[in-house]
Amino acid sequence: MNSPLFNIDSIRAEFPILQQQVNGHRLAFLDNAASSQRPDAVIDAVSDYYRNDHANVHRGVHHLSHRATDAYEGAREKIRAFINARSIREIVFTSGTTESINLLANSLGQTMQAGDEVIVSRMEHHSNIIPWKLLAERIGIVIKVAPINEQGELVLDELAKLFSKKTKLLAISHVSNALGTINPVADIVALAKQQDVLVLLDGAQAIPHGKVDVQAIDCDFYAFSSHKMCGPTGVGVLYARESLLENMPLFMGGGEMVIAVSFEKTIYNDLPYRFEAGTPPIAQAIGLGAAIDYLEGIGMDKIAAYEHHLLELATTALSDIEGLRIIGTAAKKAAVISFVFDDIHPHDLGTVLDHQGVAIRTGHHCANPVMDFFGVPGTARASLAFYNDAEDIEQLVKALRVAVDMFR
Amino acid sequence: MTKELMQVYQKTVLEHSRKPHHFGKLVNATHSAEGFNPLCGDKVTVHLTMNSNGTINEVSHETTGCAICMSSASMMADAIQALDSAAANALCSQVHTMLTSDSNDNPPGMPLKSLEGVRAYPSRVKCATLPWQTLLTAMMGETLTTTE
Repeated sequence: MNSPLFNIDSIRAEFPILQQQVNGHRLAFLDNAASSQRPDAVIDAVSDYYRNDHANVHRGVHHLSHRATDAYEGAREKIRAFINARSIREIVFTSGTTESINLLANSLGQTMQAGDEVIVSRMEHHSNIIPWKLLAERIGIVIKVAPINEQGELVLDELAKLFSKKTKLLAISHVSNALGTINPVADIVALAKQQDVLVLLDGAQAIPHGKVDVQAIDCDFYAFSSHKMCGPTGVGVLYARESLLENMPLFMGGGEMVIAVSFEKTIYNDLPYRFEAGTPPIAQAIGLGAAIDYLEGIGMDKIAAYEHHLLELATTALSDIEGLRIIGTAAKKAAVISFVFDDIHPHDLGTVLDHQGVAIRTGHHCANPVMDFFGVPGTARASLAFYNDAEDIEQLVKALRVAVDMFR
Repeated sequence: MTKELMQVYQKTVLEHSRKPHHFGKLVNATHSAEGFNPLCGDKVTVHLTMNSNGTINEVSHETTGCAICMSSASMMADAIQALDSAAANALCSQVHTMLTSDSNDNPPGMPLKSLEGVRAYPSRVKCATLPWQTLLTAMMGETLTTTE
């Protein structure tokens, strides 16, 4: 689909990792939901930073420290604008979505007591289940689980019934990593607001696929990772509404989060720094800033439209393969296709596909409750990004036909 | 298809995975154990009836897993039938060595040799060893094991 608006060939040329052969075949990288790849712009930003600008941030009076601080804080501003937060005070750097959720569970958890309720959904990634389970074990909060239907969509009527006076938080994914379902988050937030319940959205799988506007969604917290959106590993974000963050108990202690320390008295730093103890992932944050520049250079709306086109192409092509069953058929989906064969195990598929240069994920995708719901031990999952093309999909289909011939 | 891939998914392996031998529950089992690979979700349950001398009279397995895991369990059940526990233990360690060592000196007639192709795929070795690990667990009178 080369067009003046979206030139896939020139986009692919900007990703050096895609220009290689794997097992003697052209690489078809279809495991983007696990981690995306990086364009030259991001790789160069990280490497330029280390070559020219590195020093610790917010500390030195010397030139390099100023430069590093400016670049690092510049990345925070890019993130603020990217998700349309009101202020950089609402942008907390973490190591990724998992730490963002754990930060929230540990901080908000200090304001909860036994019997308080947190609602999650059946389609959550383990990283949005276990932090709440740990809190349940530690202080006795109660976890309620919103059900999904056979298409892999959240059942909103049932979710609405779960709220009670003891519900403190609704923690739910924006897009399911295992099913691709796009949840109607603005409606869900509106539902929670009627009940005076805070909402955390796990945006790890949503952020690379389209425009996210936290003010339009009106959520209280939004967590995401850099490495799913063409940025470096090791950095992520917790967006938190400033009025809430202002009063939230602290999570980690250390340097950077304090202004003055004596053994008698500690003065804590301003937002968002008081939630960022220790030397932050400076190069990674700067790389994330470069990834945002890169994505916005293409345009999130164009990315979303192109990926939707790829999703339709892949869904049609896969549906033609006899015995292949797609798990997750929601009306609104990101470009993630989970599928199973009744008589071929996903791991065998994964190995045979790898031999033909096709990288997919196989297994439970850190979402055991989803697998249990659909009665499968795991699935094969092809997850697409804007740098995939029709040839990747053809290669996937061809490789699957080889696997089917082999195992039947 | 490459030689390595044909080596893993050779005819014997595929036949065992399509129609596993000794599959199912075992009435009057004296020993049963479950083995899990939490990373991939594979699960093997091994049932044994062992007599007072420690000889395996009957064996069965209930396996949910990939072709490699299924065929390994099937071949294992064939191989350990009527062995005493010392011989079964010895076979377990022989197979484990074959699946995890780099050496190419496994003799052609060696039992379960058709499984050795998995060595080319480090991420899949545990698929093949899980049934054997579960067997050892059952023979020790324990009920649960995991690969991690």
